[in-house]
Amino acid sequence: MPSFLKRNQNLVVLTLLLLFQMILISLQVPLGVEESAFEKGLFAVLAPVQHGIASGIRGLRGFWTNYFDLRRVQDINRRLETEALRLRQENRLLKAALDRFRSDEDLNRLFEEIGAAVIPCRIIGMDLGYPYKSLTINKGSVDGVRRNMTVLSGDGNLVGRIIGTVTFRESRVQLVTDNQSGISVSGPEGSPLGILSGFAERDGFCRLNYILTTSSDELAPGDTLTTTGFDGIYLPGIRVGYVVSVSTDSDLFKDILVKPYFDLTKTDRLAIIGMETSDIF
Amino acid sequence: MRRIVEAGLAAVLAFALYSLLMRISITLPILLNVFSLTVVYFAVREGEIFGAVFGMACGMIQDAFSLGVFGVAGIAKTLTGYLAGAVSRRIDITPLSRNLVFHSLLFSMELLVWMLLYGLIFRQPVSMGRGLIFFQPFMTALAASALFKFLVRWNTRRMGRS
Repeated sequence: MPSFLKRNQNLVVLTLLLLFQMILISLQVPLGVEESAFEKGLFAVLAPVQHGIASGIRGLRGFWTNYFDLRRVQDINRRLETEALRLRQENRLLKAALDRFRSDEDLNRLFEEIGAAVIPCRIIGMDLGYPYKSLTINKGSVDGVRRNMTVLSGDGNLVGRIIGTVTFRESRVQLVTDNQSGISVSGPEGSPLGILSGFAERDGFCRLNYILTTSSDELAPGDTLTTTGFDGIYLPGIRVGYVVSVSTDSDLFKDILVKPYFDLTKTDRLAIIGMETSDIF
Repeated sequence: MRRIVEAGLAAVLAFALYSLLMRISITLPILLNVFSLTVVYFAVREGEIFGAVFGMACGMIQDAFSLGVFGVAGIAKTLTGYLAGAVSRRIDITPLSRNLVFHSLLFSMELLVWMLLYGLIFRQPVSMGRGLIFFQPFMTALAASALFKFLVRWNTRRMGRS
């Protein structure tokens, strides 16, 4: 036996390595269980490298854009002042509307809570297997980030949710375009209700599932889909994407292709909403 | 010990380059697999066992930063590292055309194993990157052959000087 092992030493090592990884894979069944300490450790050790790269790129980009942007700043400033004025008015009107339903004390507490619950963050890395699955961001448990918190883009569209592997300074976000994700959404009039998941066969797109071909609710290309909150994870009323096409060719369910508003290639800044549905509504 | 440190640094460098490519354009990492390139380089230089262990390490780094099952890329890269080391000991891969074919076959096999394992575990189709993923073996092989040629020339020049 030892001579056999000696003769086939290389193959034995290869078999052991493969066996080790197969055991590792089998330990993760069923899918979706917590990551191992080993995986978390590897993530924690290498995440600072991504942090550094993201900062370096940002610095270079900043130097380049600052120079050119200087000339447009006045224009933008004027526009922002107008926008801020409009938002202040809108905010006042909304406060007045809410005032009818709640006491001053309740309202003030709610606004303070909402303000404090928004955690701004930046993307520092993307999924190394498939970019439309997940992101790494520069905020972690130290900043108050917890599993299942909703993540929005700068303009308030849904990006995804915080999933496992949260280190002190970094977290991972499951994107709406991941085919393992599931978001309860509805159309413009609050119906039809369906589950939105990433569409693996078309990068950066989603598919609205479980809408029966016999359903009377009509969705047309261009219609906006928003979250319902029924999944218990995502806050309700957040814009997710718009319908690109609707096909009724299949037997049971409609084939509805959706393009998310969130664009992975154009976003750098994100916002984590550190509140749960029950905290607001 | 030196080669382990070198390999460790190369893995971190590959990770940094991969992250950088992704920040430049989402399609770049689909076309060029920097980790596979690093694995094959060390496997050819150090042999099949080193290649297999280093392949496993690089695959696990890739898996740790990817949403999915930890170990899928690891298995594919372990096989790549082992085969690269074993085959390069038996045939001369110095001529450019042979080198290109060797790398293309190796990376195609890796992609195939990864897709099979992914399909088997998730029971879902693999994201194809609008078909770009099928160019990955050839593009990575082109980069590997160019790197190989550059290193051969560089080593020859260095030997000539000394």
